[in-house]
Amino acid sequence: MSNIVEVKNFQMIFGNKEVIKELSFTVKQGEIFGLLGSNGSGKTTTIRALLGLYQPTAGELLINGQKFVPSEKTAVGYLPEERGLYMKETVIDVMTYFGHLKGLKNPKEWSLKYLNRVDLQDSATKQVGKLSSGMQQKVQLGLTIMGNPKLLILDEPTKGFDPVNRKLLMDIIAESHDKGSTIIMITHYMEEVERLCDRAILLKDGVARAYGKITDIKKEFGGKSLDEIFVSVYGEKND
Amino acid sequence: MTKKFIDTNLGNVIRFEIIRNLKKPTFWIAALILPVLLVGYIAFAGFVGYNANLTAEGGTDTEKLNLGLYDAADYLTTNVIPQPDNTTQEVKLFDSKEQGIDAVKNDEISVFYYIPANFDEILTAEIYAKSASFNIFANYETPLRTLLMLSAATRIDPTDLAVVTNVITIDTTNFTVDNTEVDLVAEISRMIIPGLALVLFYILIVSFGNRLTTAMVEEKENRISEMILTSLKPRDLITGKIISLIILGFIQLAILIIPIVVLTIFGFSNNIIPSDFVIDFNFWTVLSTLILLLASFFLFTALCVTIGVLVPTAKDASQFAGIVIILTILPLFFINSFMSANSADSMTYFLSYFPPSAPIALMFRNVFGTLPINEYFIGLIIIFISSYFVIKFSVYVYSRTAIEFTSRVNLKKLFSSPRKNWKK
Repeated sequence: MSNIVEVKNFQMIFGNKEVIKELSFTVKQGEIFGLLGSNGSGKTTTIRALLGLYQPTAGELLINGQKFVPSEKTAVGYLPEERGLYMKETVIDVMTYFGHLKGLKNPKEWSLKYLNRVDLQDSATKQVGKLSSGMQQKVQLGLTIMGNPKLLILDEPTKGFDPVNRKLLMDIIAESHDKGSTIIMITHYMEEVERLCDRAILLKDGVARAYGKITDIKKEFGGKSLDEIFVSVYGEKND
Repeated sequence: MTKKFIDTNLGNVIRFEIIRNLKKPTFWIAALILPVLLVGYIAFAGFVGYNANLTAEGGTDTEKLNLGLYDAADYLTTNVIPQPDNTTQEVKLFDSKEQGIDAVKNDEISVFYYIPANFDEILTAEIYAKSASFNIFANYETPLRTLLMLSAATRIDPTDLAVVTNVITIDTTNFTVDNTEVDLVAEISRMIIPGLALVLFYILIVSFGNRLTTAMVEEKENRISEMILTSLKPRDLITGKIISLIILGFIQLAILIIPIVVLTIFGFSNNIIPSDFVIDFNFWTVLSTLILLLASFFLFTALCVTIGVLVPTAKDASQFAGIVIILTILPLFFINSFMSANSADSMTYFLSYFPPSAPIALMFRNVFGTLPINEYFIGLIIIFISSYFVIKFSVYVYSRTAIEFTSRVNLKKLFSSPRKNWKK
C-alpha cells in the first residue's frame, strides 16, 4: 500500500515553545489511522500543518507526495475541532456552496439526499444558526464527506453526539471508508480506535510515544488495551 | 468561457457572495435609503412648489376680490395693478383710513390698503382684511407691493433701478494657464460626470465601508476558515470576496443612479431643468471617469478587506475601518490645493500619489480640470499597482493567519516566520 500522507521530521515552534519535535509518520492509502493524544499534545497542530494552515518550522508534510494545495485532485475532507458554518445562510445554500467548491456536479441534489439520511430534511431551508449544535455538526460532517474525498481528516468527529447520532456518524464514516477514502481520526474514545483503526500514533508533548499497527502497539505495551496504554503514557508525567 | 469561469472556485465564491448579500435586507436598506430620501425630497419639494404655485395663483385671484386704498402720503402714482394674463385690476380709492376699514367690516371690500402720511419716514404700510388666516394677509401683500414698486420705478432712473434690483447682467471671461479662453458653460458641463463620480464614490465609502471591512472577518468569527481553506485557496477566497464586493457596490450605485437619470430626463422633458443646461457626455470624460471610479473602489475595497484579514472580529474591523476611511477622505480637507493647475503644490502631489488618498485627490482634480493626462495615468497605475500588492499582502497574511480566531495578527511575528511564500 502506498502512502497518502507523509510527515517527515516535522518540527513546530510557537514563540519559544517547541510544540512538535521531529515527528515522522505515514498514513497508508485506504487505512483508518488514529491520531491520538491528550489535549495540547500536538494532534491538531500536525493536521493544520499538513493542510497548510500552519507553516512548519522544519520538516515536510505531504499529501500524495506534495505539499497540500486545495484542488479536486487532492480532494481532502476536513472536519476541524473548531466547528463553524455560515450562520446566517440556509443549510441548503451552505451545502450547495461547499458542493460547488468541491467540484460536485449536482451539489443540491447530493445535499438533500444527505440531509434526508441524517434526518435533517426539514431543516434544509432553515438558517444554520437556528439549528442545534448537534444538527450543525451533522451538516458539517456532510460538508466534509461530500464528493467522496480521497482523504478524510476527522478531528473528534463524535464530540457532543448522543449514542444514536454517534452510531449514525460512525456508519457514515464507515461508508466513506468502504468507498475508498483514507481516514485520519483524532479522537479520545479509545474503543473507537480499537474497533475502527488499522494503525495509530500516540503523541505526547509533540513526540510520538507509540506508532504502528494497533496490534503491534498493544504488543509493545504488554498486551494492554489502548485505554490502559493511554493512561500509562500520560501517567508517566506524574511518576 | 463564462461557464468555465463560474465553475472555478473563484467563480463559486463570487456567485455565493453576491447572491447571499442580495438576499440580505441590510443590503437593500443601504442601497435604497438614498434613492428613497432623494425621491422623498423631490416629492416634498414638488409638493411645496405646487402649494406655492397655488398660493401664487391665489394671489392673482385678487382681481376677483374688491381691493381698497387710501394713500395719505400721496406716494402712489397708480392704483392699477397689472395681472399675469395682461389684464389690469383697478383698486377702489377711499378718502380716509376709517372709511376703508368700515368698508372692510361691512364686506364692501375684501382688503383695504392704507399708506400713512409719514410713509417716507416709517416705511410701513397697513393692510386691513376680514380673515381668520394669517396666510391670507401674506397673500394680500403682493398687490400692495406691486403698486409701491410701480410707483417707485417712475421716480428712479431705469439704469439705477436695474442696478438696485440686481437685474443687470455681468459677463465674465476666464483664461486658462495657457491663456485660452474658458467656456464657463462648457466647463460646468464637463464637471458634471466627474463630480457625480466623486459623489458616488463618497456614498460608496460611507454606505459600504463597514461591509467591506467585516467581509473577511465572518470566516474567522464563525470558525469557517479552517474548513473552507481545505477546499479553496486563500487567494480565491479573498479575490472572490473583493470582486463580489465591487460588483455589489456597483449594484448599489446603479440603484442610486437610475432614479437620478430618470429624474434628470423628467426634469429636461418638463422644462424643470433649463434647456441650456448641458451635460458633457464626451467619450473620453466618461471613460476616464469610470475607470478612475472603478480603480478607486478596487483599492478602497482591497484596503478594507486587508483590515478584515488582520483582525479577528467585526468589532475590531469596524474600529480599524475608520483609519482607512480617514486616509481615503483626507483630500476633502485640501480641496483648494486641487483647484489650480498652475499652483499644484507638494501636498497636491502627495495626496494624488499616496495610495489611500489618491482616489479622491485624483477625482477632485478631474472635477476641477487640473489633472493632466500624464498624471491621470500615473495616478491610475499607482492605484492599480497598490491594489495588487495590498491583495497579495492580504492573501499572504490570510493564508498564514486564517485560523487566528481570537487575536489580531502580529505582523512582526508573521514576517519573522522562517518560511515566506508569496506565491501562494
